Amino acid sequence: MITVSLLGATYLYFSTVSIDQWSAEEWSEIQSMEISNLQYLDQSDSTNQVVDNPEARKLGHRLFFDSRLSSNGKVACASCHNPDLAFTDGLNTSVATGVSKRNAPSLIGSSFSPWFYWDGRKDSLWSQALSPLEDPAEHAGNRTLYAKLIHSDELYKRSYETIFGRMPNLNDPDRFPKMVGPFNTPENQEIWQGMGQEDRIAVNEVFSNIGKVLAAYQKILAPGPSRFDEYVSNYLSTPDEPPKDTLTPEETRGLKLFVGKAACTNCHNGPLLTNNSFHNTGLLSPTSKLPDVGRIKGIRAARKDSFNCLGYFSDDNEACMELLFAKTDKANLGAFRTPSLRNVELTAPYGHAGQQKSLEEVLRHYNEAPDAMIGHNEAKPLGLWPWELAQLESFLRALNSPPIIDKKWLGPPS
Amino acid sequence: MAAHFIVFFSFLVACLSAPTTSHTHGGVVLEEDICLIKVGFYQAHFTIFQPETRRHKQFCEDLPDIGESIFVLEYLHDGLEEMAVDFRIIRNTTGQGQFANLDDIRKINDLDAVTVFYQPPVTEPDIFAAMHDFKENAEFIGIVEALDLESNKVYTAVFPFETGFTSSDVGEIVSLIAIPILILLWLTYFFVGKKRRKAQGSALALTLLAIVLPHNTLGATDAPLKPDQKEIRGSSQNFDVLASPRLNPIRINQIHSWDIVVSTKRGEVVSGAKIDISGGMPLHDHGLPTAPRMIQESPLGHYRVDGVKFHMRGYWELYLVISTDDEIERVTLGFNL
Repeated sequence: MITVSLLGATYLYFSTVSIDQWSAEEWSEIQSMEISNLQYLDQSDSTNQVVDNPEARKLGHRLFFDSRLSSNGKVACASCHNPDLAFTDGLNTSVATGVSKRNAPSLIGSSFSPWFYWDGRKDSLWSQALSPLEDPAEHAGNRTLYAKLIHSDELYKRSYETIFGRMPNLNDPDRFPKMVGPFNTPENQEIWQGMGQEDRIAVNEVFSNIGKVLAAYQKILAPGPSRFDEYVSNYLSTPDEPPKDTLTPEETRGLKLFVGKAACTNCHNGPLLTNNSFHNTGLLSPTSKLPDVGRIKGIRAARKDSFNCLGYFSDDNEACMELLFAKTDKANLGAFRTPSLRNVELTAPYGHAGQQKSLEEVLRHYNEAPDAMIGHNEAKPLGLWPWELAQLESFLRALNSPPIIDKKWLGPPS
Repeated sequence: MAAHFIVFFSFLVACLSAPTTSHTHGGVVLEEDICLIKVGFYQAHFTIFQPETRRHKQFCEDLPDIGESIFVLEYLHDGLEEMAVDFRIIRNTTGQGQFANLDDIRKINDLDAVTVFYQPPVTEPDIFAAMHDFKENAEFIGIVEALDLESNKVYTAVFPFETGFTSSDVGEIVSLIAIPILILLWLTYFFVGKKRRKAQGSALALTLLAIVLPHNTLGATDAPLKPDQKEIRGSSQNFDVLASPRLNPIRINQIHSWDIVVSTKRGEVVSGAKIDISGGMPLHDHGLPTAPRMIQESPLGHYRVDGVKFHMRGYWELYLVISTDDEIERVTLGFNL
């Protein structure tokens, strides 16, 4: 009883007294996390020459919300990347035409990453966008189906031709036979191999361009300022009088832990609060599932991918340093990409398979840093007190960073 | 006093953190605190998890519960990665209990009749994992077979285990009883023989300190890299190095190139050298997130390294191993980001 009262009193005390003095080291780290630093991050993607094309952005927006881009006509990108949940779906692992193996990540700020998917098996946003379209558990369609859709929809065709020039005539059923269901079924593979090489390239060209316009749309989904960022800019403008309103005392204490004792910035750093690198943090595999090997397989897949930076459909084969110099060693075993913490309050559940239901659970896990099932957990136990975990959680909830763009982009096109 | 305490404390920690497996038999051997399985000449790290009931706890052989159990084999030798590995769990009908070995298995006429789980051969480059849902507390034998596809040789490891075995619980009870006894022993030891062991204790404390001290970074240039600093200097016995990042100032999480100029102590550029580059954060005990390489030498003595990336702020070191016909030397470049 006494212990509980003491703990309660300590918690109350430490939650009501704000941190208003920062050491030079803390402040330097805090400033580096502030949103205006986004300008220094490389968001240009020279492998996608239409990434900043306004018409491509518009077409990408339409395609993103179009459920005709699926085998059953019911699944759009927005089905699992719901704008109201920071472009996630609130599920452990996504449910579309089937059940996917991993948790749907937020798309806000994703265009800044050199790697995509939890295991980094894609090296550009446009190439990433192609995979779900043909995944049997997601959109479960095939490239010919999608190319024909663009070709047959007048609005799409006009828009496509404005951006990329004339489309091939995909109406010819001998040259472009219809395929049903996912691309990788034996039947579809037989049809595909029976097509002429030039026709296969023509379909792949349209398919990769679908990815490129989807990437052009997603590029504008950059995070805006959060209460944390307002706190930093207010602090900068009036350093003698620390801002009282932007972060609560509990949140400032959480911030202090974030850049200090809790060592969050080892991985969650920079303005996106992620290093977009790969780490093994020792999550358990979900019930009845074997451990996921993660990045070690992801990098092999990225290197073999015909739609990667070095491939025929990339618009710049010279900008592939990430792909060429990626690590391929055992440290990648069980490693997954660090997610951005911007909007983290909206993106539950957490972990590559949604193993962790709440932020509280995530923080408890890092505090313990238990053994990994495969590879080695890179995290070390933190030794945080219960009230410190609560403070950290409060800070994480101050990171909602909705994109500052016209609302029309955050829903289906009218 | 301090030294005595360290020794005592280390002993306590060792007692408490000892692996839960108390027997060494079959194919699984205990080496320090990890479980190794020997498949022929090849070694693999072998662990069993019961995540539903025991969360992250690792078991080497005997399992405390029934239910979903995940067997993980992480290869420690390259050979196993190319082999077709299969895994079988049979009921232990050998009558040999935990001492059952391969010969006992060979005596079983109908292996399939006693098999409760079989994972057909797979060639996995990283790990082998299998899952079985145990329905009863009983004795079992795990059999790992690895087929060398080139020589057609089969290597086998056999490990008997039990489900519902409580050796870990027994271990914990023993620890609980042992700790008060150890405290008493230590107090007796400390008060009775205090004078005689003073010198020994100090020496031990020094040794322990030497072990825990961070590794020697002598020769590293540890000056912070200022935002306007365009180059970093380093040296070894025969070489001087001038290194400049092409991304200036360096920003974390951005891949970039470096230019490295190697010269002799007399200031002549060194051409035709090979530079192997690696790096990391000594205080965080991790390496670079990428695998940078020397790409070209142009002009003579000027080397370009591509693929450098730093994924957090703090103190970093780059290690250059410079090889010429006559010398192989290592230069450390240290800087703060």
